[in-house]
Amino acid sequence: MSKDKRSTMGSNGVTNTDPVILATAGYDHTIRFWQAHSGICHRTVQHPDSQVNSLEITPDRQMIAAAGYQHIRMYDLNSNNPNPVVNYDGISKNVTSVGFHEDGKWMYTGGEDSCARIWDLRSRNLQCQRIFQVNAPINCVTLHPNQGELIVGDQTGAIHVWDLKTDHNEQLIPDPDASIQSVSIDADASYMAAVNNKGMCYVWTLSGGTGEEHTQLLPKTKIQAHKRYALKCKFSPDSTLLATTSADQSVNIWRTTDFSLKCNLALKNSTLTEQVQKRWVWDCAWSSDSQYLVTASSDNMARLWAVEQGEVKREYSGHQKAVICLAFNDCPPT
Amino acid sequence: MAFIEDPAFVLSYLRQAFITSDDTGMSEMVLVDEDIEHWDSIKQEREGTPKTRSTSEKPQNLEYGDISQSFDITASSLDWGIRRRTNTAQRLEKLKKERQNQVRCRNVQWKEKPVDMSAEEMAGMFEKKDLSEKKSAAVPQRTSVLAEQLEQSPVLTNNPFIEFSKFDGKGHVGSTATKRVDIFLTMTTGKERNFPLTVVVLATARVQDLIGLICWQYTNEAKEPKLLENVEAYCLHIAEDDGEVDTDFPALDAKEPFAKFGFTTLALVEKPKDKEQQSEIMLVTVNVPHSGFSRIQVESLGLTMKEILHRALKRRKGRVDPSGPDYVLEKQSQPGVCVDLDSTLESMNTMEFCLVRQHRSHGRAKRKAHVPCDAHCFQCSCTRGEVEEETEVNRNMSEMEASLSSLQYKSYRVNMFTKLRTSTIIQLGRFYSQCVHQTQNKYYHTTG
Repeated sequence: MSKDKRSTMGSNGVTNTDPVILATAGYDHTIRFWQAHSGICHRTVQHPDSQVNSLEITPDRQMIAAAGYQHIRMYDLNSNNPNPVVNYDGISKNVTSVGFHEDGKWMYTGGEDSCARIWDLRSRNLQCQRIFQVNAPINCVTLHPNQGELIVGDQTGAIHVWDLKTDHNEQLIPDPDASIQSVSIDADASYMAAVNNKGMCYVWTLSGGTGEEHTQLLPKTKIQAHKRYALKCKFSPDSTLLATTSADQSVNIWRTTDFSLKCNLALKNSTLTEQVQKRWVWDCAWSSDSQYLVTASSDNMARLWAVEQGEVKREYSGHQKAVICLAFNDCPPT
Repeated sequence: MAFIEDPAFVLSYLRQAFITSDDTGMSEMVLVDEDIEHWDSIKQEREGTPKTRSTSEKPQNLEYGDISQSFDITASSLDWGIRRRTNTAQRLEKLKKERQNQVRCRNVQWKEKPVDMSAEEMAGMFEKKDLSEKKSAAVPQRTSVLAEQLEQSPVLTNNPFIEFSKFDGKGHVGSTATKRVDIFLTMTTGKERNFPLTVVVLATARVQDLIGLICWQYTNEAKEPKLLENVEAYCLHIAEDDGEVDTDFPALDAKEPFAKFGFTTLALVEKPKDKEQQSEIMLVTVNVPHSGFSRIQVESLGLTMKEILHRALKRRKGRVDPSGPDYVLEKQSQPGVCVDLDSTLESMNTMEFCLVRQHRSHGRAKRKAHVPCDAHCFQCSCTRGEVEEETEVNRNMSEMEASLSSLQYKSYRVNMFTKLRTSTIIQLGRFYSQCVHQTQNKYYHTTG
């Protein structure tokens, strides 16, 4: 990503590959792209017919996938084309999560039709569509860093570990009366965390998961992460921190050494703006150095937090309705 | 219509309709080689069966039967060249456009039937990655690009114009109506002064919002000198392409929607300050007839006149009874015209006002009040300062008024002498409205 290319951005509205990609979306049927360091929105694309439930940038940073109602749409990141370039459909109900194989071989999705799906991305003739059905609407799907197992969390509180090659699956239910909202595995696959709608966070240590061996989960700890609905959990890229977002309008940062609370990221009432709208925090993403966290919340804003100081560094304001998902990538290919 | 039974008519009609409505020239290509003999046979057929139709119904010179090879009838001869496109044509074009967009958008349908894959393929696609190597080769932590960028970019969180950022149209190109304007910044110097700042603004913004957006962008780009933290201190003027401000025209009205102006080059100009403003403290002078004046400090021009009246009354508490009759403000320069209390000080264009009771004005009405008046009820109608008398009393009054219209009148003071209820009708000249005041004054007594 050459610097001169970047410098042409802005005035003429043409988007070029910025080393940092930040996109947010939600209920206002638009996807907005931001200059993360300045807080300026440099591009808006329409996502007609549906809200956006989940956003994900392809590993090659060429496209962004937006999961909505009954379809997943891919938009070009490096052009100003306001229309989607690929439209995946044929699904009933909402698609709640979307993600990619690290080499871009396939895409995985999960949705309220209780199905997790694998979509072939490489070509049209070599189809490897796979489907995995569970008994309840799926809230979240996460790919194990070994790229061979999908972790699926559903509304009945079950977590399924689906081995893609053998179709072997295991399930565990930490609390049968709660719905699993989000699952995260850290980069070196030593921990897995899951949060539910009672604000509980469960942590397992992982072993195995190479070759033919399935991943073994060993309960490590459980913490009452929030008093209300927990919505998202994400390990930092360096695996030292875990962020949990919640309906209690805040984000908690936990140390992975002992799962103690490091800090609480919440807007204080004493900040300059009088009307601090504190709303549910739906999604979050870490910067590659684990120093910053971007959050999306129902007050139509996305915010950039410096985790160490626990303060807001930038605010991304422009959405007309709640922001419920975001995608962030600050790892330009070297 | 009986005509429709006639094939020749139908054919002719179709033919003419085709020719006249065709603006592509296709009719010429299609019809020029048409077999005329066939037409003749139809014609003969029709003429050969006269008994079935009464000829009286059909005039002989019917043109529809005439088959001409001439295609001189053009669309323009009928509708003067303006051919409205039909809704169908527009709709078809829209559909075509949508289809083109869809072609550009690849559609992938979920296939319910899973494709059988060989074990090899499965292994290729879903092979588990060995993570143990990665664990050992821990990547040394480096600062992220984001952190670098944040460090380089100035702290922007306290941009005072942040509320106007929502009018920025940069991110909306292609999806929402936006306007692009080049703004010359007259406060900058050197190179900055010669090159305009390009601003993309949402088409819904007002001029005021655009000024705010310019200020926001200016501050974002860390330009010098720093702007005053008040968008009302700036205005937009028409400018030449070389950045020269066109001062012959007034600044654009801040309240107007910007989209209605067609300018693509403007200049941001700091508003010239009034004398009162220059001392940073603005003073409003409120004269009270015969009781001197009050100077009231105001912090902004955005204050409403109501607030100024309130302050003036507060200041003069004791000397003016605020619980008594209502007071209004008039411009010192325009006696007899009450100002709208809901408008702002800025819109007054003056800093000197006069405090008067609502049922009189500080000039003329006051003078009328000098007249000892026996009538319990009198009516005076004023039209823009001209007094029209309708009653005997008023005529007397105007004579008195004329004699008093010297500068002396200022030295007279009116006091309430006795209290008796009367009804007074006063027509305020400027507004032509009639208001009835219940006053308790009957006799006026003039004192030196």
